[in-house]
Amino acid sequence: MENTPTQLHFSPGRMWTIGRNTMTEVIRQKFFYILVIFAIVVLMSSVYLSQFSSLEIDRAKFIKDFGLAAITVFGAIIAMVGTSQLLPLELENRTIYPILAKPVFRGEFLLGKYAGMAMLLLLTVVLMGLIFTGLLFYTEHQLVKAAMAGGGPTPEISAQEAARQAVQQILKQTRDPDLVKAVVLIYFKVLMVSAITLLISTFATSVIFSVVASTMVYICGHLEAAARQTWLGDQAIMSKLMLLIITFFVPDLNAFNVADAVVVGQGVPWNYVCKTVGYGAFYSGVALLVAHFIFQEKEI
Amino acid sequence: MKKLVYQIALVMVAAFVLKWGWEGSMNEDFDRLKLGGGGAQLSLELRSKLSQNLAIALLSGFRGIVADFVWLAAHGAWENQVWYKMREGIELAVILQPHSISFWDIGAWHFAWNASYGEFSNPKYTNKAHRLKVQRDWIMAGRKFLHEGIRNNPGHYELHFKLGWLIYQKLEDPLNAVPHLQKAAGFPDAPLYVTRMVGHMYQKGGKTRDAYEWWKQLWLEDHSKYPQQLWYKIEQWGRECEEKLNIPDAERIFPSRKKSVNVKGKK
Repeated sequence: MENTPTQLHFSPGRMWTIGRNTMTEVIRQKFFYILVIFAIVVLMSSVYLSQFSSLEIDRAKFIKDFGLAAITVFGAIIAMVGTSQLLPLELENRTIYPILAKPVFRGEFLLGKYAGMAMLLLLTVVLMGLIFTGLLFYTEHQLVKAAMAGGGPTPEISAQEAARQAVQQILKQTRDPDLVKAVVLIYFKVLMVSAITLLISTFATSVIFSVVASTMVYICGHLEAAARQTWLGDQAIMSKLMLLIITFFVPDLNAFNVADAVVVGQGVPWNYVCKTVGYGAFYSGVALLVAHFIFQEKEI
Repeated sequence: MKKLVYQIALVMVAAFVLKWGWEGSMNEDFDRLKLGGGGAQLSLELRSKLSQNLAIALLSGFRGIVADFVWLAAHGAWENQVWYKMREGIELAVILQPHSISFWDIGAWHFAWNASYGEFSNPKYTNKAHRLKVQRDWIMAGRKFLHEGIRNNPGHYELHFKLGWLIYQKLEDPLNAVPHLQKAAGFPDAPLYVTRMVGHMYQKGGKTRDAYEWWKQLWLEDHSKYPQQLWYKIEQWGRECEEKLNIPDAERIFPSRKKSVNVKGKK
């Protein structure tokens, strides 16, 4: 029988293998440990700082604000620093050559790297989310204890009823299911940041450049909606041009920022969460596609 | 290379068209649901009130945490009795997070109770009339602050109640407090004390007839709605009004306890 060469197809298996190795590689790096330790310290410190609030019930608000901000900041830093090193490290250690010499598409390699980073970010966000939940439960326990001890009877309700009402108020603050939606959106936000950083790193000349450029995109991303609104208004041509460039390239990261609303008890409908998650997936897909085009042509 | 540029340009333009529409719809929802906390955008005026670090944090989307730190600074100013610094901090905190009810509530309390008393007892004002004026200015600042809070958060009973309470306690005008307390009592999540406060304000303002009507209105509601203890109290307050108004026995809704004991005794 004649030996015919079999055609190579895109393989999720190969991608998975690259992804798993990427995750292990990043986990073994020192910066990751340091950032995770810092994140835990910052999360823990929220309990201490919250004691300066003038109202007991405000402690829960402070911890929620602080916790969600810490998850966002450290998630974004890990996404930017971790992703910006993926390609340069492979090139520097020359480990990319034996991989690409094997029947592996460059697209698979790139997607595998991203998948590894996505898994690592999921792990990080879940870990920080669990610590955040633990701190909220701890605060809830403290507040409930104080409410049970401090509540006295009023002319129309008994001490038990007064305590029950106070406890209900505390639980409304600490067991808000919308907090899960805020964390889901934070995860998709850092995924987008990771995709943008990967795109930048395909043409960047150094890791520092990728980190700085993606940080700029991150900050601009929070002002994209304002730029868009201003662009739609009456502006000079030069201003319009600048704003158009921002709105053309930069994603709207502020749309993922529902923490403020969640913390003050405003509801976030699932419809909005799904729409925003879809946007995040779409933008990440576009960033990865462009990254693939550049990486495909890159001379290694 | 040319092919690469074409590919990228094509993807970017197609993505931009989709992105534009998607973002427009998302922003519409974001504004409609007030998900951004509804606070003012960073302006030169706002920037001048914030430190550089807080301004950067605000630019990076950490409005809540910036508001919390500003609030903590205002709290420190309260402890040190630096009233104008405290006011600046509180007003900045509500600009950043106008939907945080506790900022409005506690802020108004600081103005109308703490700062007003602090300034009233400030030895630097030797003239009593001056002290009274400064005290009143702070009380009015608290009232204005609560009005602003209600404008930003019309769907919460707390601020309506606090406004009514401020008018009663600090301006000693129980009848003017009634409309605000009634508004607060109209919210389904308003606690018991809010509902009964309306009747008390009528009584304190000398409007016994109105107070009686209010207790009567409450008495005719479904009794399973509130604990039994409340009904005893309403019964007692209603009876007091009936006594004061000399309502004939046959028309009374709240029968006298003494009489009912006698009836039972006869049995």
